[in-house]
Amino acid sequence: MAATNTYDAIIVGSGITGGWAAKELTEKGMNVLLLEAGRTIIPEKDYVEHVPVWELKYRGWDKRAERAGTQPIQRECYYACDEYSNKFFVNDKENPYATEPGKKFSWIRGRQVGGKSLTWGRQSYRWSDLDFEANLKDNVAVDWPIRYADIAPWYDYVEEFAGISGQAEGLPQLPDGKFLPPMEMTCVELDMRDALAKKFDDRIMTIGRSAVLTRVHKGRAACHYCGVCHRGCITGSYFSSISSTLPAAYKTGKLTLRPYSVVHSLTFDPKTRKVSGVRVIDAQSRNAMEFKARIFFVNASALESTRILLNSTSPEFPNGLANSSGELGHNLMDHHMGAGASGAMPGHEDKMPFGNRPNGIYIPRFRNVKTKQKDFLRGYGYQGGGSREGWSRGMHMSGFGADFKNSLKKPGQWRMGIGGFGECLASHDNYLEVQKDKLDAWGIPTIKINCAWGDNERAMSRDIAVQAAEMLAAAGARDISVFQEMSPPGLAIHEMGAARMGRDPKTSVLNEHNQAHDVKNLFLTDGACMVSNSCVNPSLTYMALTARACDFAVSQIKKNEL
Amino acid sequence: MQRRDILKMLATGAVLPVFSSPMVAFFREAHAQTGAGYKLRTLNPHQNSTVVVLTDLIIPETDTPGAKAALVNEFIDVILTEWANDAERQNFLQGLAGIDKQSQELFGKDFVDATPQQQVTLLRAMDDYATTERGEYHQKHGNTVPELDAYLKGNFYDIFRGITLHGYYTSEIGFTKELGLQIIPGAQHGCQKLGAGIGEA
Repeated sequence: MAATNTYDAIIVGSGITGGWAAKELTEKGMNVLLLEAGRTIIPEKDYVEHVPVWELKYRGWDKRAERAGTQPIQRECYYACDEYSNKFFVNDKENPYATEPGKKFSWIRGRQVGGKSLTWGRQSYRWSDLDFEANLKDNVAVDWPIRYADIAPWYDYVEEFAGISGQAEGLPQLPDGKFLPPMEMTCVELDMRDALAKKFDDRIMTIGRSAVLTRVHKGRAACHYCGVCHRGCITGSYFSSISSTLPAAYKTGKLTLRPYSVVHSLTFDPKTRKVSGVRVIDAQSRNAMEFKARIFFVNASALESTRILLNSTSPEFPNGLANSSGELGHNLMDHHMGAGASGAMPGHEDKMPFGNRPNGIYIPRFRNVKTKQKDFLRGYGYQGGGSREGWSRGMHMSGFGADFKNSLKKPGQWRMGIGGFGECLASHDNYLEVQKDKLDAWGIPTIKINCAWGDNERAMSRDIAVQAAEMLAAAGARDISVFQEMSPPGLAIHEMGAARMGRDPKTSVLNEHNQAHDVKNLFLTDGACMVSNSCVNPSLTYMALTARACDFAVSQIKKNEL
Repeated sequence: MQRRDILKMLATGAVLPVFSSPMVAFFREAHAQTGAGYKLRTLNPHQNSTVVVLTDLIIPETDTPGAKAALVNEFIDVILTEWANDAERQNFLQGLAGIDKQSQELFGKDFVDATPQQQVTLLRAMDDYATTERGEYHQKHGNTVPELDAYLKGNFYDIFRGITLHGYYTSEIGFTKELGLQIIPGAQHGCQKLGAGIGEA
C-alpha cells in the first residue's frame, strides 16, 4: 500500500474516547489515522503490576527528590502515580501550564498510547435524566441537547463491549447497566449497607460498578485481583484502549496508529467550510507534517482538545476553531472531593477479605433526588471501603520483638471510610485560554486555567462531610474522624466542559451529535463536550457519546452529507 | 515453563497457583537491589552492626526469619544514601550515635557490645519514651497522601522502627514468608473466616 497522508477519518488522541472512535470508525469501514502525542505502550515491557515491591529500589517510597522535580503535580494523584506507575503520567517540566494566581488547578494526565485509560479508576456509572435535565430545571448554563433515551442504547452498547461488573439496584437516579457479576463487599461494608437500608429511607450502598471483568469476557481474562490496575494489566482484565478498543480496531486492518504525533492545529478551509487537515509535529524529530481526511474526531482529553481548537485560528475563527459562540474554553468543571469520614468498625475479628479488590463501594446520590435541599443544588455520591489494618499499624503502636512481630502478622482493626464526589455548577467564569507567548517543547502555545469552586460547591462539601459521619455512626463506627478540605479543581481528574454541546450555536460549540455547529466534519467526544457535570464518574458516558457520534458521522457520510 | 505458556494460562482465565519466584522472574528484569554484592555506602561497619542488631531486636526471628535475614540494614543504607536529604541523614546517624552514648552511660559499652538483656532494657526505655511522646494516634482519613517528608523526621526511635517495619514487610521474606501474601491471589472474597492463606500465613 502506497504511503499516504490522506485518510477517511483522523482521530486525535488514543485515550478512552479516541480508542472508541478508532474501533467504531474502522469497524464501519473507514481508513483511520489515529494520532497520539506520546509513545507506544508494549504491555510485556511496560506493565509492572506483578513486579514485587522488593524489586523496587525504594520499596514504594519512590524517588522523592526526582518526583518533586519532574512530576510535582502528577504526584498529587498519589494513589495512581507511584514508584511503579509514574511513567504513565506526564513530565510536568516538559508539559507546563499556568493557572490564575490563587486558583490552583491540578491537571493530571498521561501522554502515551492509551492515555488515562491505563491509569483510570474504572468506575463506570450511567447518567439519568436527573442529570440531563438539571441545567434546564435549575436555570443554570445551557440545556443538554440530549436526554437519557438518546444515550441509553449506547450505554448498552459500550457496556456490552467493555464488560462492567456491578449490582443492579433499581435506582432511577443511577440507572442499572448490563452487568457482569458484582465483586464482593467486605464484612463491614455489608454491615454498613444493612444499616443504611434499615436507618435511612433515602439512601443505599452498593458495590462499585467497575470496568474490571469478574469473568472471561470477549476473549479477555477475568481479573486475578493483584489489585494494582494502574500499573498495567497483562491479562487485559480492565477496560483500556490497549486491552479492548485498539485490538478491535487493529483487527479490521483499517487502523494506522501514529504515536509521537503532537497535533499543532487543525486547518480550516473557508471554501468548503470544513477542516481540511491536521498539522502534526513529530515529537522526536520536530518535523512538521500535515494529514488530510474527510472527518476529524478530536479526543485528546478535555483540556488538550480545547487547547487544539483554541490554537486552530483562521480569519473566519480568530478565537479558535468552531468558536463563533465564544464558549470555547469556558464552562470548565470538575468534581470536588476532600470531604468524608472514617472510623473503626466493631465485630468480625475472626474474618478477613481475600484478594486485592480493585474496586470500592458506592453510595449513590440521595440529595435533591426526592426532596429539595435548602442550601445547594445537585448532589454527590460516595466511594470508599472497609478493610482491616495491616502491618503498618505497627508504626503507631508501642512494642518490639517477637510478641510485637507476631501481633502484626494478624490482621488489625476493621476500618470503614467514605469520601464524596460532588457535582460542580457550570460557570462561564471558569475557563482556560491559550498563551501565545508561552510555548511547550514543540512550539505549541500552552494553556492558562482560571477555575475556582463556587458557593454551591462549598455548601455541598459541608453536607458531604456531615452525612458521611452520620452514616458511619449509624453503621456502628467508633472513633469517627471527619474531614472536609476541598480538593483543588482538577484533582478528581474529571475535568470537562470547555467545548460544550447545546441546542443553540450561539451558546454552545457542539450540537446534539457532538458535531461542531460551525464545522460539520469536526467532532469532539471527550470530556470537553459535557454540558453539566453530574456527580458520577464520567468515562462511561464519554464512551457512549463517542460510539453514538461515530454512528452519526458515518451515517452522514453514507448520505453524502459529509 | 515458557513465558508464552504463562501468558496463555492467564488469558484463559485459569485460576493461578501462588506465583513462585522463578515464574515472577519471567516478567521483570531481575536485578537485585540488595543482597549478595551490595556494598554499604553510608553506614560504616560499626553503624551497620548497630543497625543490624537494632532491626533484629525489633523484628527478630520467630517461626520466620527476622530483619537481619531480610537485610533490612541494606535497605536502610539505600535510603540514607539516595533518598534522605543531608539533614535527615545527619539526624539519623546522630540518633544512632545517641544510642551508643546511652549504652555507654548505662552499661559502659557500645550498644553492640552490651548483653542481649541490656540491649532490650535500653530499647524498652526508648519505646516507652517514644510512646508517651507520640501521644494518642488519630487515624487519618482514608485517602491520605503519604507524608514522604515525615518518614525520616521526629523521634529517632519512631524513625528507626518505622523504616525497619517498612524494610522488613516489603522484603521478600516479610511479604511472602511472614505475611504469606500473594501478588496474584486469583480470587476475591469479601468476608472469609481467618485461616490458612486468609489473614494467616
